[in-house]
Amino acid sequence: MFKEENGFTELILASEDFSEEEFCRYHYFTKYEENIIDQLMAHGPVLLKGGRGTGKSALLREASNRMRKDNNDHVCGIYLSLRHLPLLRTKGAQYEKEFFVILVDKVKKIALNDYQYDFVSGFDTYSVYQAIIEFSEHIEKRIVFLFDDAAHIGREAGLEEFFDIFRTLSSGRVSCKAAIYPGVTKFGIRFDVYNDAKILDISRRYGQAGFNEFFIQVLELRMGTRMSDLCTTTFSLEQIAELLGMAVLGNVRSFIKGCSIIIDLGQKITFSSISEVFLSLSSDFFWPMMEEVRYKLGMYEPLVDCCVEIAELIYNECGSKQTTTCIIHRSLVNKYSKPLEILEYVGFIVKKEASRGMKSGGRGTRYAVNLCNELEKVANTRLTKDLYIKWIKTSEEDAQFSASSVTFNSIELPDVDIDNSVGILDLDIQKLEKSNAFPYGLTVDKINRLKEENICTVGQLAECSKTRLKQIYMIGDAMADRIRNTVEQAIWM
Amino acid sequence: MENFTKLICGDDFDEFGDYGKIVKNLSKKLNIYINFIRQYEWDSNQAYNDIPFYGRNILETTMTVLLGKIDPFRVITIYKVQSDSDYNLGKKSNSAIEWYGDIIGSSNNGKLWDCSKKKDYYERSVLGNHIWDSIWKPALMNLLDYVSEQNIDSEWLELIKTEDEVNSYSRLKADALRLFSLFSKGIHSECLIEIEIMLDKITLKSSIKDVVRLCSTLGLLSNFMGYLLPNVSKADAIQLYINVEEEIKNV
Repeated sequence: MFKEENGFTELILASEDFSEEEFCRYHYFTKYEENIIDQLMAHGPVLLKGGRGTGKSALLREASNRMRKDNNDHVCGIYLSLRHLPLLRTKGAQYEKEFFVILVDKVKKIALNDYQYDFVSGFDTYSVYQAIIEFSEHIEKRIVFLFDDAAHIGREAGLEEFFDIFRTLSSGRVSCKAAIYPGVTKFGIRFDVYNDAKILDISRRYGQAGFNEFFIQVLELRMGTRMSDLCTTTFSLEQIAELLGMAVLGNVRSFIKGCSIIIDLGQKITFSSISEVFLSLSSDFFWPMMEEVRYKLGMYEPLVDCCVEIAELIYNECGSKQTTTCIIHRSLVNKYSKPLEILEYVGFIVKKEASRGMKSGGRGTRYAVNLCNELEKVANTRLTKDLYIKWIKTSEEDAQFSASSVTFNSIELPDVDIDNSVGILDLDIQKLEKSNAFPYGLTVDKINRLKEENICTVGQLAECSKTRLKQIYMIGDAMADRIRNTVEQAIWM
Repeated sequence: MENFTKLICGDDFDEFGDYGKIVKNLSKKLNIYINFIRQYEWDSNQAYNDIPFYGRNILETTMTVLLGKIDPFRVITIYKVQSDSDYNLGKKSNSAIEWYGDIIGSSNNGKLWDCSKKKDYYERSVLGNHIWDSIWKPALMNLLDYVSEQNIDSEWLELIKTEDEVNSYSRLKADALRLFSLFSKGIHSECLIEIEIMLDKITLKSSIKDVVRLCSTLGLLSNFMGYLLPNVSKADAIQLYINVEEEIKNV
């Protein structure tokens, strides 16, 4: 959906930004998603894993809504976003305390509003555990916690503590579910990934049942008739949904961004206009995203240049072969595991098969490649009918990088910087200006007003309460919410 | 025979002597259980009584069939012992199949193949390190190579494809342990809080689908290692797997 503000058409990209009513109106779930939602509502610990914009938050919110709205006799769902600055800056006992302050506050509100129950708890593990059990006994329902944005790549500070809490709170009466990103590998010594939780991967792969249906529905729900008005005999609505969904590797957020570019372009959809859209997505959305993410990776920040080199190599190879997939030998995948995980995190590649035999011998991991970025490397950088058919039919052989690939092996892998904190917090708020990298950004006017109040860095803005923001001239209730959303997305999205 | 049963038990086992009789008996049980699940009336409000029993039996029976495929002598021994004149239904049998040992192996992370170890060191557990390394892992490779060039629409197969050999093993073993324990809570009277809080309909539905997927996946793999018998062809196994996935989706 679109929101009008200051004369600009602004697209809502993240499900967190929807009001309850809008959320129900603009979200659609296929059988595939319904199955995941069921597992989020069922008893037992679950880790929901997926890259940026794959729909983790939407699924958690929907599960929570269903558990509450359906007046479920046996379950009480509690959705809790962990987008809180103190959680990024603390570890050990301090992290636990910050975590439980947020959790207790949330449970308290739901207990009072929905059950007229006065939830009282201290802020240590034992007190919270006891209080939640008492609450569950009182309402005679199982509690399901849905922790959103629980674990990010590169932000390892409190992860060990988080997974400890996750494990400790889980019991016969309490289920914990958490959204995590691919590449989160530090679970602490007490948490055994497979034994302590069921892992659900969200993956919308081209060719998967319901893939086209899902993106057609997203198009219709989010774009209304705007898109169908631009369709032609060359490209029907279904074909646009399929091609764009495939090109952005099934990533919902990128798909919606692509749709908005098509609509802004306002031209009938042809191979030429689709080429323009893909190249625009690549240069104005995906590559800037890599820069945006750089400052959120903490200790892995030094790896970004290596990621860019790997991406360039993959796109060059796939582009010259006009193929949609590549296989990278296992030894290279092991060596460059973190950069490849970062590339997955930003939606540049997505793992299709973990173990595939290679022509040159041995086995490798097969990845699908972001076709918007690949188009930049295709001869003439144009989507032709011939190329379109090759992509849609996935008829071309995979590009392959063998263990002895000289070009791959020559990419320098820098050491990670374990002392590096999350750089985004120290950046000037100018960085939050509405741009391709920050499509949800602030206007120059608002940035200036904030700076006049000595709120100069992203970290300082994140620490500002809504009350403090509202004291600034021309910042009302809605704008304060908007600013807080913007800064949250800059740090966490 | 049901798709599920055929996938696990194979066919043409009439000429397998006692082992064939064992597989036949187990396949009859699996047919009953899977039919029950497919036709289950979820509105009966009895799911917490019924589903754990059937879920646990599907899991145990499947594992017994697979144990037989890996080690026919083990199940033939039990079959023979049960025909012994001293066999007493009222007494624990010393040779009975044990979940921990026959089905689930130890968590020993030591050297897998070690020339200094005696033969007891090498476990024959269906989900143990040695059987995984020597049977399931190559079967998984065979399966992945077989399906890699085919465009098969199956979420279950996609899940298999996205995990490497190590993670696949961890997930399958953890799933078996989790589901065994979960269904046990419903069978034994160890659940003292209101059972529907712990085993509500949505949890049971999700778990029964998980157990069918787990058993079908192992059944599928067993058809990709030619010497595990009885079996069906690879193409048939894939088709049966997809059919079961489709059937269980609608539960």
